[in-house]
Amino acid sequence: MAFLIRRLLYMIPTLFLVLLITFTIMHAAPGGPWDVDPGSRTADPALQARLDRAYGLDKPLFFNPDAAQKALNDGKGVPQAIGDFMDAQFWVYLENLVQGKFGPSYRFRGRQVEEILFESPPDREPWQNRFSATLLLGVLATGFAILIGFPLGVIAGLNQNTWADTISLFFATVFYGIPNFVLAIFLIIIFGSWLGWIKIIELDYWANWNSWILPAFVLSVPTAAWLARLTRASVLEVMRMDYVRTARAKGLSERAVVLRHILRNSLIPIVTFLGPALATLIVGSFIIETQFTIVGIGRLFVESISRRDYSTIMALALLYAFFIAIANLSVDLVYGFLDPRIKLGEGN
Amino acid sequence: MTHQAPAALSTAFQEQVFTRKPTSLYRDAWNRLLKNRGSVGGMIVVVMFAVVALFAPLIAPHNALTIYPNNSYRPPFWVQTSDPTTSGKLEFPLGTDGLGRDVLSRAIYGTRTSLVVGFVPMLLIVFIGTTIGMIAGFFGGRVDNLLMRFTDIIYAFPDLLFFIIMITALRETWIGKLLDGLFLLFVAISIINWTGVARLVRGQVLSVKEKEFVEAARSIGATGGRIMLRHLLPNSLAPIIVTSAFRVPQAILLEAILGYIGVGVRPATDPKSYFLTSWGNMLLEGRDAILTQPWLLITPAILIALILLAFTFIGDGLRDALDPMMKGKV
Repeated sequence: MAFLIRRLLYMIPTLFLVLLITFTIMHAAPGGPWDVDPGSRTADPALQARLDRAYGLDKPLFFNPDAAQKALNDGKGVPQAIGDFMDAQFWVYLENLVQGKFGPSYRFRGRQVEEILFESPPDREPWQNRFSATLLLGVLATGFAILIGFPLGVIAGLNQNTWADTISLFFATVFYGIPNFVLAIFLIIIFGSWLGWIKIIELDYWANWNSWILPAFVLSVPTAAWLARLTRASVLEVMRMDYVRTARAKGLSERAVVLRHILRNSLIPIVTFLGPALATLIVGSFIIETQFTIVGIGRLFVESISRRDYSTIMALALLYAFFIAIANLSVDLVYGFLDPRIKLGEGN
Repeated sequence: MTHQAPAALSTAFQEQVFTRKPTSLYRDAWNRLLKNRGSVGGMIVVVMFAVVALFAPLIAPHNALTIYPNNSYRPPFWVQTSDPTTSGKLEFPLGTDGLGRDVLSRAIYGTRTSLVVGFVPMLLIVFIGTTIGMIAGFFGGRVDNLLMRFTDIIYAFPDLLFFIIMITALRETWIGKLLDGLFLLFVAISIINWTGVARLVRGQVLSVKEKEFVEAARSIGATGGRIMLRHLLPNSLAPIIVTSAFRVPQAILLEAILGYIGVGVRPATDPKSYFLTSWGNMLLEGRDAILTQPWLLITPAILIALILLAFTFIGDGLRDALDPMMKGKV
């Protein structure tokens, strides 16, 4: 428990740094959220100034020495001066964040970022929002990866050096090497342009459940291939263990040996793989979302960057970093749970 | 006379057993690598790409930036239609893009960018990662703790998102214009991706520095720097080589992804410049024409798949060859 708390506390500086760096780089970028066209980067200066004031963008980025000086000159005392010194965009953002507010979106005027992420359009079920679209895609892809990768790895491992092994390993290596967005290009061209089985631009994924299959499958492929390789290696290692020989020697049926001894033990490295896999699939899905025109947070992220929608970018960077941190943590926890020999929190 | 024969025999036997040349780990590994069909195939593909990249101006039928009016959106030469303006021409073997530029020539010039993007960040990553991992492992204690905490933080960064932010933010500034934007790409990749190497090297150093030969070196008064460079580094080299082989395709893929979503290498404007285009840029140009002109996407996609596969097979083979204990593991 102490270990868990310590690890959760370690996440805070990480997330803080992610926010700090994202904030710094985004504000260092030329242009701003009010530009009409990202190419020309021009807007009416008067309007821009008013918008800046309304959204607090006229404040300094990190520190506000002028306000602090003014507070001191007006005789408001040192605490007030320090407060005014921190009256800058970054700290105001953090203050809102601690209260659970991601701030107003600059692109969808009048809406809060949390509404954009977690609220569904009026004609949808309440859970059909951007965040759940990405989550569903990630979960489906993880499911596909397990359903494809695990059996393939087991077959290869149990039949080492046979044709089944060679073929599985070859396909696993090939699909591990081919990036999924390139695969997506081929599949969209084949199934969309040539065969016409899928819509090139699917407008409503929530209305048509079949439409999720191809994007989720494509997203899962490299993970499935990697999982197959991992499973194969794991099965091979477990098969050489003494307890497997003992199980055979005492006359257990092959079926019992495989199911109860080999598979169960070869699951250990695979279970630890799933947490990060889900996180990677969620974080890595933005290009698949863009390709398949899924309205999820990944696509929102890419669009927000080019539109300089600072608050949305910060929220999504935070969300992604949080996913990765949780995934890393879950590996350590699951390891300790599955294999009590590994003691948590002692050295590395 | 009779007792001579066994003596001669034993000399021959001795020669056979004891005069075999000693082989180093790397010669052994090289021999093992050459026996791996996948790796040999991969190496052949990579060498071919390297030749194409080096001699691009000689091989490419056109300059990658030359615009041929009235020749936009031509299909590959084997696609013949009744309309001569949209029919394939042998002059443009793989067709032309929306501006009327030759796709084959663009693909050939793009090879340069991809290979450079693959190798330069890899060298930077290995350098940064090895230095930090070596220092952390060698000095241990507080230095180790500090460096590894820092590594953990960088490791938890959503890397792809960081690249997008950094490149979008800086590509209009002077940093983003160095080397047609390649410099920014190198820096962005290197800043984030060294953590894996650092962790790996640190682990190696931690185990190697307890060995007797390091103690021996220390006892004859070798300095810390000498021990790191002459003893710890050579003995940690094998896993570093394996991991660097996997870094190359990672960076190539990254360039393609960034190009595809429109934040990749800046398209060159000077036809004499060395890096005229990239496969990522070609993907971007093909993206919007996916329905009508799919070959614009297919060409770079096939090339990317091919080179990534080649490097994956080489990396697999290197790992099996350098670390036989790891054979078959992921």
